[in-house]
Amino acid sequence: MDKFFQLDTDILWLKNPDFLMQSRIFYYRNNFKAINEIKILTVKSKNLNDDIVFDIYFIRAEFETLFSGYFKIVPITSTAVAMFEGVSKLCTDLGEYFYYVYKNSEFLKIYFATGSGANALEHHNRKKTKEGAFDFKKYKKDMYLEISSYSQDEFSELVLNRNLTMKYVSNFIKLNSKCSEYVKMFLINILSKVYSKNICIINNAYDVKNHILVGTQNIKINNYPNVCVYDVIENALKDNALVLVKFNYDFKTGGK
Amino acid sequence: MGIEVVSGQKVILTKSLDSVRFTFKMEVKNKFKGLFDMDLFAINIEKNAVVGKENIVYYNNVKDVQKSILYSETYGYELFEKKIDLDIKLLPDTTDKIVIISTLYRNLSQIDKDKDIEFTFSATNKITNTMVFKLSDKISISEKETLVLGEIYKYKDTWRFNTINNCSDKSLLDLLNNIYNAKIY
Repeated sequence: MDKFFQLDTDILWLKNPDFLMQSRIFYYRNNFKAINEIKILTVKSKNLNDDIVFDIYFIRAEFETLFSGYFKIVPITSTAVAMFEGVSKLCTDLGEYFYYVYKNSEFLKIYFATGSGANALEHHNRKKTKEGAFDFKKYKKDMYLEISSYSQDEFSELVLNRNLTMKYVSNFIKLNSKCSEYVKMFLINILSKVYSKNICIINNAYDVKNHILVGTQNIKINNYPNVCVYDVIENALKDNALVLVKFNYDFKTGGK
Repeated sequence: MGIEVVSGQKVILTKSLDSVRFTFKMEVKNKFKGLFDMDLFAINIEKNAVVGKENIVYYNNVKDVQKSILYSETYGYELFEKKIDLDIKLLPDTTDKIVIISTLYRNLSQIDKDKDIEFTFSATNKITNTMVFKLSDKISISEKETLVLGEIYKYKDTWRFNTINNCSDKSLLDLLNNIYNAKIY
C-alpha cells in the first residue's frame, strides 16, 4: 500500500501515520473520549492521475468481545468507489484490512500489478458487465418471489425480531466457536446501522433459498456461493431492498 | 388452574404414554424493549449424554429433527412470550430428558442494572386444554446468564417435569458441559 498511496492527516499530533494501526484503536479511544466519529486519515494515490482518494474514520463504539472501536473507509472519488466495491468498508485492523481488500478486490490486484488506475478501472468495469456477472436485480426478484410464496403468518414465523439484532449477534458469539476475522467484519457491518433497514434475520422455520448464510468461519450467498456478500448488501442498500440473513450455530465452546 | 410449583417440585405430566402434547410457555414483562430478552431453549439430551445440535430448539432452530419439539415466540407491547410445543409421542427413543433453559440478554449500557424482571413459566396439556403447572418468579437482569427452568423426563410409565428454577452465571454451553456432562455433536 505504501508504494502506491500516501497518507495525510488533519490531526496535528498524529505523526507518521501508517496502515498498521491495530493497537491504535485504544489510542484513539483514549484521545477522542468525547468524539463518536472523526476523520483520521485521507489516503491518496501517489500518482495523481489515478485519482484514488478515500478517507478513514475512527468510530467510537464497543460491542462485547467483537470490537472496541472500528475504522470506516469512505471512498471520495469514483475510482476509489470502484476499488472498494464488493468489500467491507468497516474494519478493526487497517493492516489486515488492506490485505483483505487486496485479496478480494480485482481492482486493487490489477492496480498493484500494472500501477495504472485506468487499467484497473477498465478491467473492473469489464468484469462487472460481462456475461454471467452477478445480477442483483435477478437475485432481488427471485428473493421477493420466494417471500411472496409465504403467507403473512408464515413470514412472521420466519423473521426474527428486528429490534434485537444486537442480541442475535451477541448470542452468535457466545454460543459458537471463535469467529474468523472475515466473519467478525461482517458482524460489525450488521451492527453498524448502515444496513439496519436492509438486513432481516431469519430462522429455519421454512426452507428459504435466497439468503446470506453466516457461519463462524465463512459467509456465503446461499444460491450463489461464489458471489461476494458485500456485492449483495451494497446493492440492497442502494436499491432500498431487503436481504435475508440466517445464522448457522455450531454450539462449540471457545467463542469468547 | 394448574398448581403453583417451586424449585425441586416434580409434576406428573401424563400417566400414560399415549399421544400427549404440551405447551410450555414463558411470559416476561417487556419492560426494556430491544434491550433485554430471555430466550427459551429446549434441549434434547440423549441417553448417552450427547446432544445433536439439530435437536437444540430455540429462536434460530424452531424444530427438532423429529418435529416433536416446536418453538414459537411473540413480542407484545406489555409481554413477550416464548413457547415450546412438545409432542411426547414423536420424541425419539434415544431421548433421556429435555432440559428447558432460558438465557438472558441485556444491553447493560442502556438499562438500569438494579432491576428485577418478573416471569412466569407454565405447562398446558394441549389435549385437555388445562394448565398443569405454573412457576412465577423474578430474576435480576444484570447478574445472571442462564436460568434452568426444569427437565422433562420419563420415569417408569409416566412423563414428569422436574422444576429446577436455578439461575446461574454460567453460559448455556458451560451448563450443558458441566452440569449435564453433555457433548454437542
